Amino acid sequence: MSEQPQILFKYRNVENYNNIDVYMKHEGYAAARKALQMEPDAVIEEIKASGLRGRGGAGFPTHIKWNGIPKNWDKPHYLVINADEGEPGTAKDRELMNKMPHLLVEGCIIAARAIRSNRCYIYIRGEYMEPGQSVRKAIQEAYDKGFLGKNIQGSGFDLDIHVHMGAGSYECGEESALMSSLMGERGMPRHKPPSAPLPVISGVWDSPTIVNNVETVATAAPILNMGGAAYGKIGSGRSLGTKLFTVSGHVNKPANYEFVLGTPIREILETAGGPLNGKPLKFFIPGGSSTPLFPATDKFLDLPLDYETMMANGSMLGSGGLMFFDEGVSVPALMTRLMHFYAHESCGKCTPCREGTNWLTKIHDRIMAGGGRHEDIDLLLDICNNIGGRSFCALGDAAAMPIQGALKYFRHEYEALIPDRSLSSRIYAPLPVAAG
Amino acid sequence: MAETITQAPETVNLTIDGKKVTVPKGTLLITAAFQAGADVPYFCHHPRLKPAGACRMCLVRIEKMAKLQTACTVPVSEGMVVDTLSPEVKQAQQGILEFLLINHPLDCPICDRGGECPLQNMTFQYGPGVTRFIDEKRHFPKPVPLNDYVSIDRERCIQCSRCTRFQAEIAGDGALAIESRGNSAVIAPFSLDGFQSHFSGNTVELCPVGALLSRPYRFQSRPWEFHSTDSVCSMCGVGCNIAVQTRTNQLMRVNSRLNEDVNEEWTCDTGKFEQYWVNSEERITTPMIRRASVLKPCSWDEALTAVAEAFSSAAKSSSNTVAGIGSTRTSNEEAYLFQRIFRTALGSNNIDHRMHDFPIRPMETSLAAIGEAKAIVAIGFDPKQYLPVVWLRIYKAISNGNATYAHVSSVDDPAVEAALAVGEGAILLTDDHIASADLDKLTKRAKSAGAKINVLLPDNNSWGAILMGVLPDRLPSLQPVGNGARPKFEALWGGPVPDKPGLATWDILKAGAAGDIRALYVLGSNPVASFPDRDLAASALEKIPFVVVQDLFLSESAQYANVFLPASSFIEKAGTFTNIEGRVQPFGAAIRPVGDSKPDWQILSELYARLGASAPFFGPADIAREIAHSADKNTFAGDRR
Ligand SMILES: Cc1cc2nc3c(=O)[nH]c(=O)nc-3n(C[C@H](O)[C@H](O)[C@H](O)COP(=O)(O)O)c2cc1C
Ligand code: SF4
Ligand code: SF4
Ligand code: SF4
Repeated sequence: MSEQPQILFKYRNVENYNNIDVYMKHEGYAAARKALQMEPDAVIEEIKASGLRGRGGAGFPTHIKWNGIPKNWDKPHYLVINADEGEPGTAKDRELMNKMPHLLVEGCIIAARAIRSNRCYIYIRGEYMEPGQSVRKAIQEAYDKGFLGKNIQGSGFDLDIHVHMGAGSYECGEESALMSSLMGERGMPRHKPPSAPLPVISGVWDSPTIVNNVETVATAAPILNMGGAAYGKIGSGRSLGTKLFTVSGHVNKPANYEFVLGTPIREILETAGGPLNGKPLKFFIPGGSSTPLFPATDKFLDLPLDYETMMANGSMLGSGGLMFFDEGVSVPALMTRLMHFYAHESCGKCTPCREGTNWLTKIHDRIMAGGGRHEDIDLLLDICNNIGGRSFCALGDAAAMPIQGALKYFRHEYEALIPDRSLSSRIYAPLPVAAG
Repeated sequence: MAETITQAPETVNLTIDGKKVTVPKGTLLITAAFQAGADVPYFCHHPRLKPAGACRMCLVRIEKMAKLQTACTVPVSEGMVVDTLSPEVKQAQQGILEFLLINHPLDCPICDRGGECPLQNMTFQYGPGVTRFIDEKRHFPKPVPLNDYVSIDRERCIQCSRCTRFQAEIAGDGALAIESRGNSAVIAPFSLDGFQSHFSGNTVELCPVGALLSRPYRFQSRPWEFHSTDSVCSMCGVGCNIAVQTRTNQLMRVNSRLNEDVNEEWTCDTGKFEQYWVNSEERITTPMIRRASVLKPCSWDEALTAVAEAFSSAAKSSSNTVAGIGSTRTSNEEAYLFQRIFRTALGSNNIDHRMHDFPIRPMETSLAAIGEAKAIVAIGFDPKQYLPVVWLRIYKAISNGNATYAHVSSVDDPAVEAALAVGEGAILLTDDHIASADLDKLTKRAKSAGAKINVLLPDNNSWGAILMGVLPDRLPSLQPVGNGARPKFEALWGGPVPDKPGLATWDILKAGAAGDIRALYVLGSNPVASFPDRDLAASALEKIPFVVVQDLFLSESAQYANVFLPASSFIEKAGTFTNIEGRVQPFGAAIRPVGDSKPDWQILSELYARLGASAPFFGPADIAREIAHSADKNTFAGDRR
């Protein structure tokens, strides 16, 4: 087993760590103080040295995003925290917000300092009542201690944080839809390049805006504490530092874990107590339901879990929702469930996703009910190809990719569900009898 | 005027399907593609709406970009190389069309949109030949009425959001919204009270499928069956350009026509849906004459002879005993002929059309200029109710140029002062009910501030009635009856024209009630219902021994008629109307006159012949020629941007 430095989870087991006094006894707000004394660009330099990449799914280098904020505009800048955590199989931000909300608040101060923003919104998914209350309490404590509000700790820097609860929509985790929702509009995505400028130029209320995941921003505090360069020594290649993984499914100890990026999947599986009741695993999903699955063979279990390796093997690190499934799970059944999810969460704006997810769902339902046809399998792939890269936002792709993965490795499971409709079976099948 | 140095607009060069094009910076790729002659299919794109990128039909390949891009959302950039024809693009377009069709009911044979349906057309041109969809389609109860005029078939909706964007961006009321999400998303009124908008009909024309439907038109006709005639709306002073679509000599539908200066491509709901009175069974289509106190059908000859005799014998005794009350709804040609008959054949200036006194003042800006104003105040009236398409210009100024807007009841409202403080670019709007003292006051303030005032007259030919001389003291082109222009008209009309101003409407009615009028001609107006003092109007018409009413319906005033002359509606004749800006716009005859009715000009012309006119008029063009000959082209030369 490799060594697993605990950076975000360092004080996970400290009692009342969500209380500001306890938090402050454990390095709390030291990084924020440090950031307030630094030039904004120096903060960004530290983040650059750390190699931190977005933990929300896309893995975009955080310092590049922060540096994209115009340096000398007299428009307000906004920091928006993506706490929508809608990706099935992911619950890391929930634990962060429940147990260590001050890491998030402190991270917000650092990020706001770096991008010279005086206003931050934390957009929390509607179902997250408990994390919402926890973060609100932490914000209040930070105000009371003078870490938020006007002239923080005499630095001359002002910051207000507002909590905005979503209304229950996966799509509102997509950063541009999140911005629409935050502004009180319908939760639909907004134009991106090349159709419109990036949010760093024109985001909420047409002002420069940064949207970052909870974990991304929470990591800023430990990075400043230990120094960007030291953080950047952890991990390898372009996958640096540690990341939270939500390990779930057929394992003995499902939970959130912190691992160095690039830890072999097998090690993660073992840390999570190995396969549930020792039953052999069939497959796993590496990064949340939108990432294509891998069979649970040695070849894939031995892969290091990092951005590049997952990409090179046709999947993604995603949000870090690692799900293991044993032999009892039917891949088409799981995909049916997932398609219902994506069809239900499609915002309906664009044709491929609105109609495509619906069609994928109907075909899956029919196959599961015994009405599948052999041509349905290629049809599924064709539909996925017609969605992929053609939808307005990435939700469409997120719905298509899992099917493509499932059919790559488990096409035979679909085929097995398709009844034999040869001539003889049709002739000798009992005729349906009308009721009554 | 100060010299302005105009800079050459910045341009961008790009290549589309191997063809080089140069377009202004900021142009959307789809527009550039059309300019290059490429045929990019689309549904949600509309040049007057903000880009949506929703239908994904216009996917094209832009070199160096990872994915196909929607041409309707991407602004061109220098050196862009675009392919709209590759097999990859075609395959993507087919894929999108297949998606659009899987849940589509395809009930084209009973769909109002069939035959002029973008979805149908695109499917023929770009769609897959067969369906691969064997599952159950999406179902909704259909159609559902949204308001009195529009209903929705949600199964046919392709969620292009043209309708919701129109309501939000152009009408400015956000009256439609998308409800629910994903595959269950439906278009629904924002308000629980339904689709509350003066502009709902525009969404029927914008909808690229048969989802939003005109209720009056539903199942009435197919687009290839009717005949479409260029016309001008008869419902208010804006004069929206419309297409009158008719079949079996009946009005089927009114659509808008493009006129950038007037209505762009919009109309209000009144214009689109409230013109069906032309088809009404209640129209009177035979002349009638009163016998033993009852109006009885008679021949045109009998009716016109009775009118001619009554008027010439009254005029012979004294030209002060005849009078005519015209209308703001007859064409310019008809208004002109009406006053010409009174002034020449009857020798009387007792002719008017006004139901109250109002300031006769041309607009100081064009309609289009309202859309570019910096501050707008509507004083004493609500443009949205009264002249809805003017509101669209106001909203354009609000939404594009961040103009301030207020609608206030008094000239002393602080909002007026605030607008005047803006100075140049401020426009004050009032209707014809503004007191002239108030208008004078306002004029002084506006002049010194550099602001403009537009007095907006209500009816489709309010200005026509004025400029054609249906006024007791004015000849055509607002020439006073007493001054130097009269000889010109006397020469043109071949006889003397009285030089004393005649009686205004209110004086005609007073004289009538006092027993001093012997014959009254009511042309297209209805004083008993629309004169403010209705009792006076009624007692005058009661008292006047001979009243002729020329109209489409048996109006309140027609109850007092000795002769009723059935006129044709505006879709049964040709002519011109003059809109609030003074813009003369032609309209054509879409159908034959209904029953025995005749166009007003024709009735007047035939009467004129009986009164001894030298040369008859054979058609509106004849009259128009004389108007053009006599008109003073400077009459309407206010300060026109
Ligand atoms: C359909 C969809 C849902 C998403 N949901 C989330 C989410 O719940 N939380 C999140 O942090 N990012 C989510 N993302 C990713 C965000 O769009 C965005 O990349 C992220 O917030 C950027 O933050 P980061 O740079 O810190 O990772 C989602 C993306 C898509 C396409
Ligand atoms: S892909 Fe299209 S329909 Fe799906 S969520 Fe994004 S914008 Fe909405
Ligand atoms: S909307 Fe067009 S394609 Fe659809 S049923 Fe009507 S005519 Fe046919
Ligand atoms: S009702 Fe028509 S215009 Fe509106 S979204 Fe549907 S298809 Fe588009």
